[in-house]
Amino acid sequence: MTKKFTIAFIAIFVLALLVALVGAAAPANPQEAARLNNIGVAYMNQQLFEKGLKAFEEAAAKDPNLKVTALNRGVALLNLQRVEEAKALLEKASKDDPNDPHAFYSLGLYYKNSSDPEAAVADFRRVTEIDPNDADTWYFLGSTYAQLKQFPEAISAFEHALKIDPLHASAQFGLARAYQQSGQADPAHEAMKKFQYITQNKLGSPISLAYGEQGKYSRAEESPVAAEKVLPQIPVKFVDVTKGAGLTSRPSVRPTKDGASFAGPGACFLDYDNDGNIDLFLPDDGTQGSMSLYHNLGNGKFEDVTKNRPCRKSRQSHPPSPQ
Amino acid sequence: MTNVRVTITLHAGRPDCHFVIAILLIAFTGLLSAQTEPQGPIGPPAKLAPVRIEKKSSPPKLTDPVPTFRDIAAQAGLTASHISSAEKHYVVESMSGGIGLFDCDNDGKLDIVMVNGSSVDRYKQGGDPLVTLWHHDADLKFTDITQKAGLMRKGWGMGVAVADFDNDGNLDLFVTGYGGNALYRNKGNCVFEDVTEKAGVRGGGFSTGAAWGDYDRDGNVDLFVSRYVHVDINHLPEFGSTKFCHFKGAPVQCGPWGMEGETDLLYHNRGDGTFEEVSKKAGVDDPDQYYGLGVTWGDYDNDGWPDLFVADDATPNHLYRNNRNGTFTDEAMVAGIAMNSEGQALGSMGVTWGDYDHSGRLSMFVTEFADQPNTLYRNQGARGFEDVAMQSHLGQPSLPYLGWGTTFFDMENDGWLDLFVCGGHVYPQMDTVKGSAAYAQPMLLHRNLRNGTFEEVSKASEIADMPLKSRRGAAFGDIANNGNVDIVLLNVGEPPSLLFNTNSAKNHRVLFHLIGTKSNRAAIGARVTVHAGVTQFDEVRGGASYLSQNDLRLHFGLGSASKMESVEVRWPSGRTEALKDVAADKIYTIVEGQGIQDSAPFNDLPAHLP
Repeated sequence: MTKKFTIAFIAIFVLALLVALVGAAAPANPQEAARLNNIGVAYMNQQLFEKGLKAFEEAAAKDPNLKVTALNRGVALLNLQRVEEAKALLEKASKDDPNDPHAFYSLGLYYKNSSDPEAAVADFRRVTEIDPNDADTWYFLGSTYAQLKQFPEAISAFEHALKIDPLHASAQFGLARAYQQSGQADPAHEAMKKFQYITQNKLGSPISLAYGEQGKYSRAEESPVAAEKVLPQIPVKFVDVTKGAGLTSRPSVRPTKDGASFAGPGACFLDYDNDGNIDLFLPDDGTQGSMSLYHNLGNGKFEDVTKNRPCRKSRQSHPPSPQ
Repeated sequence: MTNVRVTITLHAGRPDCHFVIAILLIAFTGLLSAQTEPQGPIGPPAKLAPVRIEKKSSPPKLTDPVPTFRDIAAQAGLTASHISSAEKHYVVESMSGGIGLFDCDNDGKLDIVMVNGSSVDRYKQGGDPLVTLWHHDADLKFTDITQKAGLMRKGWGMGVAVADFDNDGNLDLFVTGYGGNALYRNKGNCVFEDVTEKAGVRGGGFSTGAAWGDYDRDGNVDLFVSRYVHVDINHLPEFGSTKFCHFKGAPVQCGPWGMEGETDLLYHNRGDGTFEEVSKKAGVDDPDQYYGLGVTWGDYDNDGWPDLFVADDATPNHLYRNNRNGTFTDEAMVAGIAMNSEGQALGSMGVTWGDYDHSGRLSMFVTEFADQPNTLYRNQGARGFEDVAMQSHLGQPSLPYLGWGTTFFDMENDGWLDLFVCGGHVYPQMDTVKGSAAYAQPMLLHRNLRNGTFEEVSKASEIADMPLKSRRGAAFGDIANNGNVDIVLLNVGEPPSLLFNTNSAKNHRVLFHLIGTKSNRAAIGARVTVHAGVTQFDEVRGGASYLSQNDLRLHFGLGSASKMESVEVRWPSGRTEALKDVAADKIYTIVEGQGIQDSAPFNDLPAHLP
């Protein structure tokens, strides 16, 4: 008995040793790293920055070559106010991949909020070179210029943001403030009126300073490794609820074999009455004779309000102009 | 206060849908065309001082240790509890309340008044006495004298503010409340007479902030009252019932979003014991019915007339500039203080004015809702205010938390204003929500680094070791008369905290107790400027922080200066007085027109500190 136990014990020990050795010498595991990284991103979205950081660190241990984890560690550290470590990681990430806007963007935000707005300008400018079409970048560039009291540059950057996104509330506000602070009261007044029009009619909301809401490049990034290989298999099922939702009043021209009623040229979801529930607009596809407007009742059902609303091809339905 | 970025997604499958886009675009033609075209003729720039950017040097090494604070409330006898429901199913159950420091019997020691709060159930049964009053007997020992003091009116107390409205030499107490306010006239020796009805200041609705200020400078101090949302106690919106009653996915109390707001009130003191409500005439009635909370007067434009700041929750703030003719103009939007630099109308709660950068101008610090930075609006003079929340490093540590009571104060007497903030969520339900700060939250202490930035020193001050609580009001004053500023805190549903400042830095300091003669007797609105190496100033305020009352005496830290080269007093009446070569380390009583009438030494630290 004792001998058998000893052998078994030795065998287990050797096995364990082997496992440990194999583990230590394990090659990079990109899929596991990507999975851990994406878990970190999910933690970040819940503002659990410590847990996010830990997941990113584990991801980096699984695959030191996964560039995105270095960036994400920087973002997590920045949100944990561990700015020196964050800065070092982000600066390295920006050098490793000078064509990725994320690190420059986070550095820009960091420098803007510390005592080095000039450095922030350089970083935001770099982002605009990589992606000239991100309104938030132009907004923060303008905001940094305003901080530096370089109001003409600020105005130009805010206007650039507004060319990309005319309903960018923060850029519109920044523009008004920049005019005001440079002593141009009339354009300031005009710009402020537009800002109020945008926000009061809920056409756009100002940027929030909470994590993830300072522009798309401010967030931790998911791993580029294909998602299906990485994400756990969560059963997602789509169920046709068209009928139950009351979306059947429109004459169906090309009913599909499973009974769905719509085969129009597209659909637009919008909250036309600002009640917080997204309504559905269906344009005329040429066969209907009318467009359709469905009001979302908020309980999973829609009501056809086409006839109640001035929903015709007319310019009568303008919202009031800014006063 | 949550920021929902509205995105309208247009699925343009076929040309027809472009028509829909066109509708949207046409709808905003004016907006769009004006956006891309030049902004019209640009007038000559207004005369502004040339722009000067101060290069921020690395912060100087501060040699003074961070003072530590000790909560001595229980030993001091502050054992009565604030009253609140556990679940807070209604917004009216989350906003109380304030706390105050004032000397109700002129014995030279600060007494403490705490708002009691209530709950919907209790209010329907008549409510609770609005406040608890503790008399400071001696050596940081307090006795509850509420009943003897005649402060037994029941209701639902929210905030406190103190002034001497009848100029009789005794400090009077105003208490805001849901369903009506109370004015208690001090007959002397901490015995009060309820003069609410006679004075005509009962108000009504959901009154929150209160601040005394003599806006017409007639020697009778007037009263502003902010109001929050319209709440009908018999038709309360049901917990978790609509989208306005959810936060971060969890069902919570409804409001303030989606609720009707209330206007604000300004009571002009007629000088005969009665008041006239003049908010509309004066232009401070808030017809937009923003959700008013913290209020405070301060002469931000240095013209000698008190101006008024109103912090509004989830709506833009008001900054009413005094037109010097009994009316005001709301300058908040133009001055850049209505919203933060992103244009977000933050959930603003507590307020404090202070010249933290020795610019000679009052800047404004506002505590804000969760996921929003507490905001410092730096006063740039003619250029208006600049949101420096993040640049000052006050915003970052506060981002997850919901801030309430706050005041600029010099915790180590080095001549530079520091900042304290207490926190606590409005929703107990946040304890189980991922991605939200919990209901009970830490306090934040920010040390002024003298270069426009602050360092968060809660750990060093040991306030980080104190239990987490949901706090509201905070009042600041030298309770021990030892030259250090202490803090009392309202803890929701619990007895208050008394944070005793054990500052050991050997810096000099001074307290000024001002008594008006031609001006209102409590000298509300008087400004004292002290030259001692650096130049500092502050003003006497009847109401500030979050619905709270700070010590009316003005405290200045003087660093290594053992005397002040000069002290200037600008009385609300317009009279100014200058005193030369004033020794530090005393409590001075200055009477308008008569100079220093009394001086007392500071106490040593009580040896038997509880």
